[in-house]
Amino acid sequence: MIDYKDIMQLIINQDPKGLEELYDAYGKKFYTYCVHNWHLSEDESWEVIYKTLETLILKLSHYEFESKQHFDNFLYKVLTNFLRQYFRKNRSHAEQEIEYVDLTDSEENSKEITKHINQLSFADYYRSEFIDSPELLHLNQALDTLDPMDKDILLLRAQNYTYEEIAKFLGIENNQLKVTHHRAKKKLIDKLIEKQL
Amino acid sequence: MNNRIDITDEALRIFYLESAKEANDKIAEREISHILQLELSEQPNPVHEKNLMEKLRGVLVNMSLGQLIQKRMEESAVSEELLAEISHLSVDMIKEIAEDKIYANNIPVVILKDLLKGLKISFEKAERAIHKTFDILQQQNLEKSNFSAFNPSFRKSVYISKDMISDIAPKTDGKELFENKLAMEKYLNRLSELLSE
Repeated sequence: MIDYKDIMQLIINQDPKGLEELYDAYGKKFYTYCVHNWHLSEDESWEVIYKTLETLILKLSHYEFESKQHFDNFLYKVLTNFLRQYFRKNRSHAEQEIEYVDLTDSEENSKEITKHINQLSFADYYRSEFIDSPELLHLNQALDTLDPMDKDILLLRAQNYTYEEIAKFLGIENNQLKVTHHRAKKKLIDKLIEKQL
Repeated sequence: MNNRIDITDEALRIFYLESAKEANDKIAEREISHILQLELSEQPNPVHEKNLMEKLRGVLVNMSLGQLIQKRMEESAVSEELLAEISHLSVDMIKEIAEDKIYANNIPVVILKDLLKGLKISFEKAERAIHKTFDILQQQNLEKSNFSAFNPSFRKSVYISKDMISDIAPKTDGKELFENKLAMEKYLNRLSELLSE
C-alpha cells in the first residue's frame, strides 16, 4: 500500500492520483463505517466521506503531520465530527417515530432503565450539541467503574461492530462474547440506576 | 431506520461521539485502526465514486480568494452589485477582492463573514484561498522591492543624514501591522469563530 507521505505529496502537487490513493486507503473504509455501523443512508455516507477528505485536502498545506499515526488521528477526528453532525440530523428528523426500548434479554431492568436514562436529553442532543450534560457525566462515571474490557465491548457494540469484529479487535474469543456483552450492559444499567437513586 | 432503538446503546453512541472530540492520540489511533480493519461487505456504487472524485478534483486545485469568489459568483449567478449589497461593501471593493488586489485582513472580518456566507463558501475553502492570496501579494511586494533595490544609483554619495530619514522612509500607512502571517492567523481565527456561530 502507498505510504501516507506519498499520498500527501501527490495531493500537495495537485496530482489526482493522490485522491484515488486517499480514497482507496481511507474513503472506502469510511463508507463501510458510515453505512453499516452508523446506518447512514448512501447519500449521507458519501457526503461524510466527501467532507472528511475535502477538509484534509484543504488543511494539508497548513498542517505538518509527523507520522502516519498523526495523519490517521487527524482523519479520525474529522470523520467523527461530520458523522456526529449527520447522526444528530438524522435522529432529529426521525425523532417522532423513534421508540426507545431495552432490547437486552435481561428481564430485571427492562422497564427500569427506560426510566433512568432521560430520553429528553437525547432530543436536546439531536437538536443542539452540548457537552456538559448530567446524563453524559453519569454515563461516563458508570462506565469508568466497569472493567475496561467490558467498557470496550459496550462501546464497540453500540457502534454496531459485529461480535466477530469485536473479538478480533480485542484479541479475545468470540464464543462467549454475546453473553459477556449482555452481562456488561446489565452491570452498566445497575450502576446507572444506582447513581440516580 | 429501525424505529425501536435500544436506549442504553443510544446513550453509549452519544457518549462515543462526544468523547471522540476529546479523544487523545492513543484512543484515536485505536479507534481508526478498527475502522481501517473493516472488510468491505459490498463494493461502493461506481457512479457515486466517480462523482466523489470529480468533486474532490475541484477541491484539489488551489484557488486564491479572488478566484474562489469569482467562481462562486459565476456558479450562483450573483452579480458584483448584488454581492456588494449582501456584504455592505462597495462594488469597487468587491472588484479589488475578486482581482486579489488586497489582503483579506484589510476587509472587516464581519463583512468578509457575510460575503462568504452569501456565496456559501466554507471556512476551510476560504482559509486556503486566503493563504494563497496572501502568498500572491507577498510575492508581488517582494518583486516590487527587489525592483527598486536594483535601480541604479547615479549618485556618487549615498550618505543620508538622520534628518532626512523621516522624509525618505516609505509611507506604509501602518500596513506592516496587518500584512504579516501572525496578523493573518489571528484574523482567520476570528473568521472561523464567526462562521461557526
